[in-house]
Amino acid sequence: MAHGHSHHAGGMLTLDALAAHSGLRGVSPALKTFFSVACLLLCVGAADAVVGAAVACSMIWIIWRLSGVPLARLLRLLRVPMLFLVLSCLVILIEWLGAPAGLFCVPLGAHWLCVTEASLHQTATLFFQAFGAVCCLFFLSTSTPMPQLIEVLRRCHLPELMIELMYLIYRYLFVLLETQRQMTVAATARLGYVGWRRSVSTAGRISGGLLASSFRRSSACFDAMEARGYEGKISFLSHTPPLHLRHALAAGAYLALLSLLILIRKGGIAL
Amino acid sequence: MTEPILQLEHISYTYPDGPLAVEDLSVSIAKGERVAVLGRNGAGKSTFFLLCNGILEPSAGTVRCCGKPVTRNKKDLIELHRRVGIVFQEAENQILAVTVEGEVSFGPMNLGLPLGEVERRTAHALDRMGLSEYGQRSPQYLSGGEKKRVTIADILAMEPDVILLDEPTASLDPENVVLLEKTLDQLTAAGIALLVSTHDVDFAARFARRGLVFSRGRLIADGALDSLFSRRELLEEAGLRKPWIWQAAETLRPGEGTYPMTMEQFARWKEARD
Repeated sequence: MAHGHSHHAGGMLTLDALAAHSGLRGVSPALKTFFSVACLLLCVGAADAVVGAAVACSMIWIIWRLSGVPLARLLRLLRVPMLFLVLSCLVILIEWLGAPAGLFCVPLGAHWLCVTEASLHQTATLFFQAFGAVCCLFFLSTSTPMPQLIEVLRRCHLPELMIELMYLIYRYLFVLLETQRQMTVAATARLGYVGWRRSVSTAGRISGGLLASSFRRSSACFDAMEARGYEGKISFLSHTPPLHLRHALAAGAYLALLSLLILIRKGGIAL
Repeated sequence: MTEPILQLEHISYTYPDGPLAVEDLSVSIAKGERVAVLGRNGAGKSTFFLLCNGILEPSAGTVRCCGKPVTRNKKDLIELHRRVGIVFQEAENQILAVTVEGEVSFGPMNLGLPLGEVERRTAHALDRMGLSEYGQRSPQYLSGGEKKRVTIADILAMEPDVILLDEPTASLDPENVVLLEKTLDQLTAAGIALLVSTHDVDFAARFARRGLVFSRGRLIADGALDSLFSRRELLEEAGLRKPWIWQAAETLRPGEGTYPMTMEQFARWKEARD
């Protein structure tokens, strides 16, 4: 396998590569996790379009400027959740009424498809609420490499077995994907993907082959683990970046501003 | 004569569902020695390695580590795992952790060393393999040659006396093979005995003076490489060929007993005959 990451094209792997090179990878992962979860809770809890939009925009700016993800790439990544969001919001936006009402109506048989002021408001709120939340999670996944995230979970006292499994799954995901890629290339070279029926049967065979090769690999892996003195407990040295005061202050300032915005929007503070 | 570090005495091993994998194997490895392990696929080389490290339990015979017989008790086995390390052919099967540093620390962690010592050994092993900058990298973003160096650092961190390398050149490009040969020289300089299994007889000739030849689960020859390559019936039985330089020299002057195997030897051999 050569140097490039070019063949790691899938969405999840893109996120992994972005996190590995993120400008924020030196920030304490615990802080980033706390920060993104706090923002997410505030954004969802506020249930307000302006707050949601503010969170989304600021998160996109953070991911773009601080984490160093090219904007075009980020927007491409956001397409999938966006599509999902837009489709679900359409269902809420359009009401199925007996008589015309609201801002905009289209007759359909004996009934009317209408957009009312209430449904528009509800949709906008929901859309930005969800979009802000998605951006919070994107912030975490583009700035924090998975190993660091697992270490955070370890410190949250998740059972040791789950931590070990997470490490192994994360590691072998890449090995399996590479094997799968090679098998797919080999099958394509032998015209395994010509026609729909054959594609389905080839994909099935590749899955079977993957299972078989995983079994073979597992015994070889176990030998290699034993050769290095494995006795039932998997433990590694891990370095997670420490918490810096200025990072904590920045996160605190952001959360304070966000809370202030929520208070203003909820009418707690009259301007 | 230095005290042998690792000795196998009349070792036999049968896989649970298969024929005899290794039969009546006796071999002795001295400190800092370099040995090439040759033979066809399935001739017993990998089984031999797993027996040396104690992963497989011989059905007959004794393994000695620094003269002491190794029993199946846990303490002895851990000691054997520590002293005799294996660098597996497939780096993907060996690399377990999600960062290079974590990966190299796996062995020392298993030895139950204090954390400070684990850190020291990990940093030292990474440094020796030129991987100091790679500590926080993920293995999925390394090249083949880098992965191979990580797997060697894995073993170095356990501070072994013997390292067994299973076909280390198999997946490397020529540039990385040169790098690997330099690495192996460093390990020898550090007093570590090296056993390298390979199909590449030219590499074997550059690497070692001594060779072990396996065929059908038996060790059929153990001696100086140049004496092995002059035995035609042995090469046929083990499916080996002579190094290219040997063949070239033999074409130039047929009828001599042994021939040079490396470029340096060839230059000297040629000079002596001109």
